[in-house]
Amino acid sequence: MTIRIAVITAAVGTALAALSGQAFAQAQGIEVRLSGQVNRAIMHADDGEDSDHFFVDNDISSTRFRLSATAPIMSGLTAGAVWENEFQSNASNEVSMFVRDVSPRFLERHADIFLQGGWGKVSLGQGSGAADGGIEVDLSGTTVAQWSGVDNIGGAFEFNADGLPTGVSVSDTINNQDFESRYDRLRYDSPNLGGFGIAVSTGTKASVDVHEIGLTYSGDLGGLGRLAGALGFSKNNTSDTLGDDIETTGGSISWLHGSGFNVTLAHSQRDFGSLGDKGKFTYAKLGYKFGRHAVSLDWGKGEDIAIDGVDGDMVGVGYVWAPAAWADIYAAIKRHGAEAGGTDADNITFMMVGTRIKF
Amino acid sequence: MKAFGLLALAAALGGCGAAPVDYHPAGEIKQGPGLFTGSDGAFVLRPGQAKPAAASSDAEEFERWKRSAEGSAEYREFQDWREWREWKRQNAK
Repeated sequence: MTIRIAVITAAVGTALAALSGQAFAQAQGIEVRLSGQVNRAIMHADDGEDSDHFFVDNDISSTRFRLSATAPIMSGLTAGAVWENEFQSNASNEVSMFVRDVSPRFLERHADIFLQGGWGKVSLGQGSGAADGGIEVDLSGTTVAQWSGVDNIGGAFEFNADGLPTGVSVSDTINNQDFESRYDRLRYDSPNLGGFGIAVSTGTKASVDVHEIGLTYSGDLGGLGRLAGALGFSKNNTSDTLGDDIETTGGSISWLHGSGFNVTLAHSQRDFGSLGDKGKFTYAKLGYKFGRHAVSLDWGKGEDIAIDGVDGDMVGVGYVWAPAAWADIYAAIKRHGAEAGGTDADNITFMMVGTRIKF
Repeated sequence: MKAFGLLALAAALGGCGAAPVDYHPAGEIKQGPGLFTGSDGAFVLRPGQAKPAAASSDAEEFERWKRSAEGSAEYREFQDWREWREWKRQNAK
């Protein structure tokens, strides 16, 4: 009996080792990762006529989950897929004095497959365009509280003038015009060349052909700290439907000194051709990082962004405390102003306290 | 256009002696550990590593038994059986 047990053990062990060796050869290097975050905040808004509070999902870095997988196909060639979706209840850029609760929606961010090798990376599917994020490079450590996407917080709030709503929202007066964001596209990324990278993409967004090119840089300057920047160009082929193409040009740069002092600048221009005036956005941020804390002041200006002759500006203060690598606790205060034809609207003031937890 | 000039200048300066580092887009999910996922920062499944680990535990268990049982009556019985099986293989009809 004992012999039989020993024999069975040996036979099973040997067989399993042989089978698993074969399976290992097939599955070696495959990695599947599930990650995500929840980002919730309490926001208070005062538009000069009314004030109220809102429970929001911070659209600067929304609640989302991500499933990704990579596997080597052969030596020097890796295949992968990314599937990322956001699920926001009361997105901070959608609530307003008229709409305090917005039903949550399940929205795609990435549904992307890619091949990567020493020659670079080719991606196909829903994902970032080549220039996406080119106006948002920021090393301040306060981005979850404030960044160049100034309308991510309170973008849907309308300005009042003479006690009446103007129909002009914060997003109409100022936004960073960060190219074409995410869409269905074919994209190529070069390998990193001394900190530089170049990307091109072509695809369709809202039934319109879109083409983009982006240049990025990120380097460690030793005693001078760290520097990152991006430049981009996008072309929206709207000439068939609207009579002219829409082109966006812009970039951003951020410098973080070893002392913690940091500066961030961003600028973009959207050329509507014969469709309207050129929309211009300018942004600046001064910050300081110390330990697990970061604080910053920012300022932004928008000209003819969505409506010719309507301009906007904003100024704000942001603070982020990262008590753990997976947690950010933040607070921000900012004020938006708008002006049209020499007439100022009432300012809108926002205050927000929230937390982002990566799980 | 000022931003472009500044970027070009800074990049040129940086290119002189800077070491390239990865930049993680600010609005994306943070890099690093997660609340539930620990240092990996994600629930990670590596099929190519899970199976050999389970299989090797059986093989290792057999090896451990061989080492620990060596010299015992049970082990001698096992060796007798292996010798008989070898004799039978060589003297097959």
